[in-house]
Amino acid sequence: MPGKPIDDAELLAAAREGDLDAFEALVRGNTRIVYAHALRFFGDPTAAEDTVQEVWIKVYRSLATFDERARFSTWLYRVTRNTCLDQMRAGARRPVPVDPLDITAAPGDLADEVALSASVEHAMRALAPEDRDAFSAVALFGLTYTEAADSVGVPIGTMKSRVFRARRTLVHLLDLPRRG
Amino acid sequence: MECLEAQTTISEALDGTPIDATWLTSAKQHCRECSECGAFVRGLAVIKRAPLPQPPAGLADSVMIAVRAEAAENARREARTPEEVSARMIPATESESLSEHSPDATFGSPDSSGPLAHSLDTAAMGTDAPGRARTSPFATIAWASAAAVFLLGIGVVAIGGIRQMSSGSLAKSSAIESEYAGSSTQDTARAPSATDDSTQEVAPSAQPASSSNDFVSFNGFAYRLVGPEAMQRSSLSDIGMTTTSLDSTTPRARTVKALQGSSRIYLEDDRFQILAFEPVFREFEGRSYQLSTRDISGFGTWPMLPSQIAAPSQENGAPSFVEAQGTGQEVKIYRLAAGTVGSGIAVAPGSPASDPAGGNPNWTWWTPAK
Repeated sequence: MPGKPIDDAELLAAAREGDLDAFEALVRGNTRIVYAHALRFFGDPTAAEDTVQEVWIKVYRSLATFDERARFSTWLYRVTRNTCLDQMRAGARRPVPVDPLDITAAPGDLADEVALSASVEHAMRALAPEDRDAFSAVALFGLTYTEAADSVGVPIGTMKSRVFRARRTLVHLLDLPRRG
Repeated sequence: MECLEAQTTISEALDGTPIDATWLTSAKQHCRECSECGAFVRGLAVIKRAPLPQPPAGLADSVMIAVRAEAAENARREARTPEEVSARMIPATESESLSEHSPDATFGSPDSSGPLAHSLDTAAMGTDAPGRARTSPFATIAWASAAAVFLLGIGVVAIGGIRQMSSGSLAKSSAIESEYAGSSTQDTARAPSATDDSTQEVAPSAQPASSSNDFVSFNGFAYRLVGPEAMQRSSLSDIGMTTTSLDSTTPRARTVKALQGSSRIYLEDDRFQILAFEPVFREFEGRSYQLSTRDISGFGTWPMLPSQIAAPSQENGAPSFVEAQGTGQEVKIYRLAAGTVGSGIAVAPGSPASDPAGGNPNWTWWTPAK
């Protein structure tokens, strides 16, 4: 998928020194990824927007405590994931449930990127939360299996299984073997 | 090679995992020969080229507005004197903190010998309230000693609390995973009703304005910090959760409590202090409006427009707002361009300090109070 995180160590270092322009570059380069994760989590664009705002505020406030040994993308994934979970636990927002039986492949040509994107996003919502989370960490934020497993607190083998299961489910839900 | 082996190998290779070249070649060959695995690989390619959902235009701009506002506020905070900081967290007089709620009967009159009453008296910075004579140096030493004992006790309780919290953190992290897998029902949250105000509370129209920005958000409304309150926890009831940092560096979910008959909400900070927050109101054309906001998890963040209301791009409120008709207003009131004041009103940044929105660098939205 397009949209790998911008992992610019120089930008981050400058942002930690108080350079808001550098921080803005990080924001503009990575907001689409954060938004995608939140939208897939909540299924609601408004909730996703608010989450994006909250994530970046948290990132800004925590710049001083960022461990430079870790990659920015790993940290950003953790903040995004935790923000979504915190909001759900606080009862502020709840993910919109999706019944996998309601998923149908988008009509028309999947070569149409708009239709494709809509179909994929709809199918993402139907994934098991832990599988979608794992897929997001690896395929969206670009974490390695080790980084993703460490972030979530599961063994690497479990992380690999979840990512694979997410892919298998997506291919099945989108009816891609028949259409592909 | 089995189908599952081939498919998992391709999946891992897609994620940049180093794969033995021979093994990967075998997996690819299998996928060429096996229709099911071939379809799986083609499906992965289709998913990979799907564009990510596009965030709304201006989202990054909104983020940076909030970040820059916070950076500016941080700079202002750092410029404050220690006296100014402590004055905002401590009741100015004991009567303000004790008179408004029934719990004051629990720990008695201002002249009681309870340590909490004495420490509040000490924190009143030497104000001589009626009925309290503190001219004797021995009395001064006695008050100071009582305050020291009280503070020492608070420190012991806090340390014990921290130890308890750290031992529970491992259990909590596994609980988070299971909760994510099948989330439990949350408490039904309700906002305290403005009509439940006790007669002792400050009337909305006479609400003192300040330029402080110590707010929390709850159920879409902004609540401004009043200060710490000494009250029995048993008198408060849980009404929901909110996420805020308060006196810690990172926001976390906190239980919101309410007192029957009061429109205030109460949160407990990391030092186990109960902090009171009050809703913010303003009057317009005979109707009371309450300050609304999107979630503000960072303590010290000014309330902002709710996310469903687009921020104006021009100083005159356009295109989101138009000026509302009204008379006698020191501050310009706006309404939605496609709505009426019945659905809410907006106030531009830069209102005077005397205004309930005074000091806020953002546009604010006010919902008709129930």
